[in-house]
Amino acid sequence: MCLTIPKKVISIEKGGVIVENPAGDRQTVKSIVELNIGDFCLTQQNVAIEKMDEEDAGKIINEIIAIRKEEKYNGNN
Amino acid sequence: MVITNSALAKLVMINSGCRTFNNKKEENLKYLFRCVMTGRDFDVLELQKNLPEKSSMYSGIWAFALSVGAKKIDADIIYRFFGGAVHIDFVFDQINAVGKKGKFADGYVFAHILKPVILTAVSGENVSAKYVNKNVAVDISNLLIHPCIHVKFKAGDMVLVHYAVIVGVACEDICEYLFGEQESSQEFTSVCQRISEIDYGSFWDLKNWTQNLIGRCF
Repeated sequence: MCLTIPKKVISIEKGGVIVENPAGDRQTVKSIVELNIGDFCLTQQNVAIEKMDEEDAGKIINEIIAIRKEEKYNGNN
Repeated sequence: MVITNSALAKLVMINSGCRTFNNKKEENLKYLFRCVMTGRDFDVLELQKNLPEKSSMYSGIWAFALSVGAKKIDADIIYRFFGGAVHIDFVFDQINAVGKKGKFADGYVFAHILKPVILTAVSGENVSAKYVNKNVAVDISNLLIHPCIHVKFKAGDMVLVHYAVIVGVACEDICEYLFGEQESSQEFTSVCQRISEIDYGSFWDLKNWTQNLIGRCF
């Protein structure tokens, strides 16, 4: 089943919430949940739809870091 | 928000083929199948609360249903979610986060999106199809018909495919919607133009992987 990408709240501004994915890419999103700086969330089409538990987010981020290092997905298979 | 039993059945079929980088949530698939077998509809919160492993998928589907003004999550919503712009954005989000590029990333993105395809051959183990949309045509081979589908398909039938799995008959409304969403995505169109053909017998060992998963779960 789908791999959720947790995004960390970097700052909260007038125009929206700035979040960062595990690769370090940032985007500005709207939010339908209450978020604070440092929280992790799930986004969908530039909207934060769910706040994620920090422990769960940490586990997924570690998995993503491991996947980024795996060469087997970089070939032409 | 209620999710209907037929929507749950579609979720089971869609998730049966959904190979990602972390091969987890198999227990969720078994649980979902047990829910389908009750024959009843479920409240999404109840469903989510009882999942053996946490999953954000239901929040995403719920948010999508609300965004299109749906009062319940039915099979139509499931199809529109997994084949529409929301899921296209999601899969590019995934592939960017895990840092994959090239042929593998293209195959992953293409496979991940629910698509209407026309069957070109249905003969025993040999099931193949073609995805044709504006400016793109992709030949797909080594597909599987989900064991929960009891339709006798033939070449020329229009069906819905997610990864290597045929999950249902594609009605005209759904085809129109999904083709529209998919051709609107320049990124997805570019992926289709780059790959032109995909064989799930070899790509990521998808056919075997799916057959094994289905064998364990159903």
